[in-house]
Amino acid sequence: MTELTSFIPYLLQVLGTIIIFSLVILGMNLSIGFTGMLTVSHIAFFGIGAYAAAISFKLGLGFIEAIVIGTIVTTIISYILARATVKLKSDYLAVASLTLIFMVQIVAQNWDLAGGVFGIKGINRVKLPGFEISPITNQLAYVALMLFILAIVFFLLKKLVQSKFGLIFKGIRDDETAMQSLGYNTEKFKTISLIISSIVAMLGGVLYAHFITVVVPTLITFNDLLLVLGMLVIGGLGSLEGSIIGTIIFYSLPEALRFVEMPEAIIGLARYLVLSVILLIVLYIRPRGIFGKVDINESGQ
Amino acid sequence: MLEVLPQLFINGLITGSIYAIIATAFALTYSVTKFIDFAHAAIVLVAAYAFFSVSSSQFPVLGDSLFTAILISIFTGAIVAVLLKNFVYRAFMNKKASKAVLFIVSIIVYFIAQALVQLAFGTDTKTIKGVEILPIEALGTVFSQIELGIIIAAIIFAGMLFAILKYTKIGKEMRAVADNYELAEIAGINSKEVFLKTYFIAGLFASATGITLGLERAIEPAMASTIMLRAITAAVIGGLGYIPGAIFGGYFLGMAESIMGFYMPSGFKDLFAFALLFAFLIFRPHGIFGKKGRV
Repeated sequence: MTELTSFIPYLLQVLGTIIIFSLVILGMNLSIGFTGMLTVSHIAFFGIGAYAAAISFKLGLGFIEAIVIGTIVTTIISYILARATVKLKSDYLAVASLTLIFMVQIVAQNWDLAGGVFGIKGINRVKLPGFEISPITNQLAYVALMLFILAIVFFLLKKLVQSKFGLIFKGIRDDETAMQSLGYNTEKFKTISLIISSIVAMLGGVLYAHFITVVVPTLITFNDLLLVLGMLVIGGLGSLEGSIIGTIIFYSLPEALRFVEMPEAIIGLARYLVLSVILLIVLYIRPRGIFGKVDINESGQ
Repeated sequence: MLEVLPQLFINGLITGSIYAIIATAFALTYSVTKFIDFAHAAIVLVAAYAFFSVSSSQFPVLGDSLFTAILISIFTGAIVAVLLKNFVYRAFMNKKASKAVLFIVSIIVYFIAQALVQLAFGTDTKTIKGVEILPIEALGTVFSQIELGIIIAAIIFAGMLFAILKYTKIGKEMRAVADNYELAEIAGINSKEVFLKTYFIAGLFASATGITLGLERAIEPAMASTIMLRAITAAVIGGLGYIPGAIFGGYFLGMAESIMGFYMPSGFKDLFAFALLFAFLIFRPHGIFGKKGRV
């Protein structure tokens, strides 16, 4: 019985983390996999979501308000990112999106309202009526809520990529010049794709803040790019199902390494190295991942 | 307020020199291979930590001379750059990997280098031992001999590179490959060899950056990604792939950061470079000189 009571929180922790990562990866896949825009800023938007939730909590606002604030901020910033890069070669988007990760972290570290280097602690778990009996049931209910949100996002994204919009996105990915000659304003559609994908990643951040209850600047680090790229690439570009499965696989790998005996001090770094090498090998052998429809590429210019 | 300006100018010149060196490495490989190579940051780390190891080693021959330490670490970095090109990038290029894949690969290579350095040396900051800091006072500004050395070294490096590009066979081959890869191949230029030589030269520059960082400040694993982003920003300011532009961009960014940073709250100072990058992308995407990709 005691084993079971400690196992359930662990399981919920793993499940919740996978759900949160899945949202970030789904967002990334929409812009990288479906639209052919190489951008790595989704970690930054995830961070914006987490801070939107944390700051909303600090100001006495709730979960829904946090999502609204996060969406507004994300829309503005991803619009600026798109405005700065969609007209140019894909290299510029890659670079600008990279700097966004550092920018969000610098702001988080130095902004008083965001709690500086200490971040914001003690964020409430979203209480669902009827599940307040114990922390575990509440956590269970929250994970269920996250799963529900993920399902809705997945369903909407599925509808989006199958719609006319989705076809245009894929058209831009495969041959942007051809789409332009067909009369489509590809810059507009790339901007739309980037904004939607950023909002999806941002949602993951809002859920994270209420799940882990602590938001610190080190949450948004450049090094985490390895994790999200691994999840995205292994799952496959241009496949929404792949994003979920890739997330599960790449998240589980270090969990499996947990059982390999290693000195405490180097365990994190050793895991990180193993994941790096695995991702390199996957990129070499099968750059489109397990379910991928396309190789990682940039839209034609 | 005005009396600090000469000092800010000198500080900007010193940082600008470091930025110019790393931006040159980046612009050089970008113009030849056409992908964004983040792994110059890995070379910066390798050289910086090689420099730290050699200069703090117990062997009297190595430890005594700053010059030998610099020479050993600069070539260590350049050799690692060549190995990286020859084993990692070549494997991916042979499989016709896209620029996007190569960009991601270069980031992973940097992550691997960073993790290895952290395993070997820890995450704390290290200072290079045995470097005497002799201050020089001139025109109301203070700077160290080392800093004067950095400024001069940057000029020598830039001069050497221009001489190589302009007057040597490899320089001409590099320009040919940068200009039109296929045409260069048809003309009988072995592009693989040109790539390797480019990486060796770029490796020297990236190593020099690592060493100057070690001499000027303390070294830590996270410094390389920060300096790399400055390099890319500088390259965009000067026009991506245009080497004189990258050098100019490096000095421009260094000066602008130093002078504007003085008027900004300390923590937000680091935002300036990135804000500048976005401003350039929106208003002047092809850089100050408005040239599109050439050496």
